[in-house]
Amino acid sequence: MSEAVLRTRDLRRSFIQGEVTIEVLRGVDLAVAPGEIVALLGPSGSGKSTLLQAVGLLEGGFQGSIQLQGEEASELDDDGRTRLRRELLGFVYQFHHLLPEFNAVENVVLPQLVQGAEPQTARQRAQELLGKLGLSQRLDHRPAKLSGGEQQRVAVARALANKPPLVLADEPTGNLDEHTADAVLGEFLSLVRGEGSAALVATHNERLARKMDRVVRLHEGRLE
Amino acid sequence: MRTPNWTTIALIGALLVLVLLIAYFASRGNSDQDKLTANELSQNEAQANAPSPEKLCASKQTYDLIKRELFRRAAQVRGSDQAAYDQLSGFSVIRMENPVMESQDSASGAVNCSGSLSLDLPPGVAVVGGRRTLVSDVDYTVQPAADGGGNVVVLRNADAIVTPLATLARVAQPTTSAPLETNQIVAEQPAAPPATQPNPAAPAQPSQPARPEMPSAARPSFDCAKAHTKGETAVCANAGLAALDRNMAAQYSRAMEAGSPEQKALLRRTRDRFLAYRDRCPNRACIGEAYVGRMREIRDIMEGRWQPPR
Repeated sequence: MSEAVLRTRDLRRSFIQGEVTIEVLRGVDLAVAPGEIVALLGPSGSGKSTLLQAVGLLEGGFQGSIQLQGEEASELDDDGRTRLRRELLGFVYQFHHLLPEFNAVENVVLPQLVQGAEPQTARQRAQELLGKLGLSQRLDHRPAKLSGGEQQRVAVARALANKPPLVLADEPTGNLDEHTADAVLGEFLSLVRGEGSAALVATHNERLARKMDRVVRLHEGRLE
Repeated sequence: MRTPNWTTIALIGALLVLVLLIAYFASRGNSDQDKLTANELSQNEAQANAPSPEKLCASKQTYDLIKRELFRRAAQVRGSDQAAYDQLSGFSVIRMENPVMESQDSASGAVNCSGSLSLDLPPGVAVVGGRRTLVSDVDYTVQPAADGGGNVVVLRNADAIVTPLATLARVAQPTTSAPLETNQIVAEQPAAPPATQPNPAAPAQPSQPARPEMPSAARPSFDCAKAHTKGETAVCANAGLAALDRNMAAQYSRAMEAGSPEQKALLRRTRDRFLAYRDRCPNRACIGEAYVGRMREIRDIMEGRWQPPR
């Protein structure tokens, strides 16, 4: 089997509230293979978002090992973690976090230019991705002019723009109604599979989780 | 002849002794005891000279720190060209509208602030879409540096500026009136570093570009002219919250159309609680989370999974 795109070993995280220490992650061992789509299932407060924050290298304060394509992230400084995020990861959040002053195609072009892509190539790639998500007619619209489902589709295109080996999605359809959530998740999974990326998708929705390759359950800070 | 009352005489005597003791100890007080030590004096002086927390949020020094931090983080995201970004920082102009002190931690001296930030880039460079002005609502904390060397700034919610700034590139022809709203990417060279040598034609302090239009997205589902609660005012001032409000309102309308009488009654009842909660929120993050929770609540009501909060 090829090297895991993500591997955590004994990952721990606790928070101190007053005099109480809350252990959110209590030793998480997780591996995601290249191209594999894994649902991270658990109720609210089970630590799903904390785990994604950790493997997304978005926050410090963790103990244990996080390897992204074999590179130990916990030993890297801030610049090194930023490099790994830029080169290996794509993010989709519950709320799109699109840049409000930039239109749909520009939001998808931005991460590519940061990576050093040619503007014309980046624009073509953005148009292609947005077209696959049914947004060909909305390229020039700013996020405020898009519906919730369309905003989230742009966020999906942005996450995949640089063909990241791993996409991290935190309740990517959590703010959409059921019908739109189903449609957006279907398009998201199809696009991730088509691009050959792996994905770790946090959700509390069993039905949506079953559409993915594998389901892992987070319960009281541990994977079951 | 009456015999003397010995108890009364003893009490008077004890009282006299007490008065004498108080007078004695009062006269022993050091005349310097109320004076401050030199150290205390210098601390008080520093405190007296330090700007008030409100002024700290809006001081030029703070804005300069924010500007440097924006360029530092953009260079970090880009992964190269730190020196060029440092240099360009000096040629860029930062403006902050409505700087507000949100809170203060008296123990650490940290002051939490928020405001609407505009960063004007010098002629000769631009980001995606040819923009030379980047605008975002930001939160920032100003606190004393650990080494005692002045203040440091911690920036939050600055991605709307940092990410485009990381795409900074030379433009073919510097102009003083670059279009702020265009969908065409101007001739850029993102593979090359941004202007490593500032354009000699560029003034040290570039002319102030036209004021960019305010974020058009800050239009919630209600009329901002009639906003009167703290929550409504905050939503009207922030594009992200306004978008959340519109999404939530649309979801609510659909639910009210499709729901059973019981569901509609529940939707109305829980709406009042949500609004009260939102209007008590101390900051934007709290308001955003309140909207998230409300949308989940509406969905739960419509799917029959709603449980009353415990």
